[in-house]
Amino acid sequence: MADPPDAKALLEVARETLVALVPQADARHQYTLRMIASAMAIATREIAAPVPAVDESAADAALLARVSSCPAHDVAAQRALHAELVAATRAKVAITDPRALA
Amino acid sequence: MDDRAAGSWTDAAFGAHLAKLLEASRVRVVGSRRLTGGAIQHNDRLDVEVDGGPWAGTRAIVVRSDAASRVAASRTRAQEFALLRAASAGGVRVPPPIAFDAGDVDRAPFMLMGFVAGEASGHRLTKQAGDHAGLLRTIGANLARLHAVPLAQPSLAFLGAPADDPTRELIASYRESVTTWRARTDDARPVIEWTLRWLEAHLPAPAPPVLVHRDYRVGNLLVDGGELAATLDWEFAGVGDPREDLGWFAAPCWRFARPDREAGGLGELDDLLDGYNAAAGTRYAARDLAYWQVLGQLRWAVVALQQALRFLDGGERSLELALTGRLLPALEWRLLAMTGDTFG
Repeated sequence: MADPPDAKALLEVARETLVALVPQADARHQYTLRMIASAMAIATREIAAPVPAVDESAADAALLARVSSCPAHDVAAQRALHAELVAATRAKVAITDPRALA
Repeated sequence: MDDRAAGSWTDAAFGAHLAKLLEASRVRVVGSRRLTGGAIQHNDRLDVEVDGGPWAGTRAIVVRSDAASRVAASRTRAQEFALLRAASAGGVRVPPPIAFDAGDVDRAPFMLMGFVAGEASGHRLTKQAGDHAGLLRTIGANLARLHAVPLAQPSLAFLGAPADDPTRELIASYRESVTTWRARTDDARPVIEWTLRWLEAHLPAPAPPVLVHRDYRVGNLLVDGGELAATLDWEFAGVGDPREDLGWFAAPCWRFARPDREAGGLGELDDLLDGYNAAAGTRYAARDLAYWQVLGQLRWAVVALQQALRFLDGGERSLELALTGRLLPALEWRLLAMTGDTFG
């Protein structure tokens, strides 16, 4: 176990410190600082997220195979696939941009 | 690449070169600064004193040159200058085109245009209070004039003959980009495949092909005092379906601070279309753009893949490129909502 504060707490406080500096920077550097803060927020959420029960990459590959082979007339299969795609994408958005879920 | 610092435009030798381009007896560059924006091109504002010739007087001009990173799909500066001139002649609001320089061993090609004051930041424009209906009508009418620029003119010959179905070709090119992504990363992106199948299944009959800007959106339009001042960034222009530009303008990815406002984060689609239809003689309604908004959103997702690949595979250590890759889940989330629960 890592010494406290853990990686998530360190990233959070580092990001807060960075965000406090934004108003003091000129316009071009404000944009860069905001990008850094955004990257730190994503990393913070990612390391805090529970480890997925399934291999996401393999699950996506399986979904791709099913989307690619799904007949255009099979509405029921498409609806089932759509529901699975929504669930898988929601989990990713929760890390990269949770505001988009609102 | 001419990746020089903005300050070095002020040397006497460049002033002498400018004098030739501006057909002047003498040009003195008294100030310069790099303008914001432009990951693919640099835009440097020069304050110049011009003696003689058609541009005589004290004025501000812009030097537009390639930045260190280019994208394969972007037009050359010579082509962009030809597009700017054709658009200007067609009554499209653009920065006044001045001259093109083919460059030499020391200097990459660049174009000169008049400086136009205004705000282009999507975040700032969409945060401005007030009714933007008039601005949207002007933006629509300006796009109609852009689409009316004659294609059959020698200076635009590089655009080539229109494809039978430009949109089908676009979708095929997006599929190719996604295939490249999968081969390089082992990342499947099933939502992108879902959307490609939806786009193929719902492909509308093509409209007569026109000059399309392919990046006509808030962020590339200069607005001054609530009025449209100029259309910027012509590097992706080509020949396509006019609804492609309308859908790109109205795609969810370009609404900045106001995702609730369908027309570029500024207001209602009806206002944009009122301006467009009145100038173009068309009768497009908001529902006619639904397909093209999906196409626009998908296009931005494909661009995000390409940008991320430049970071992952091309060795470009850019935070902006890396973060663009992380936009994908939110773009896909929206695509799933836009397409609905079937693609057939």
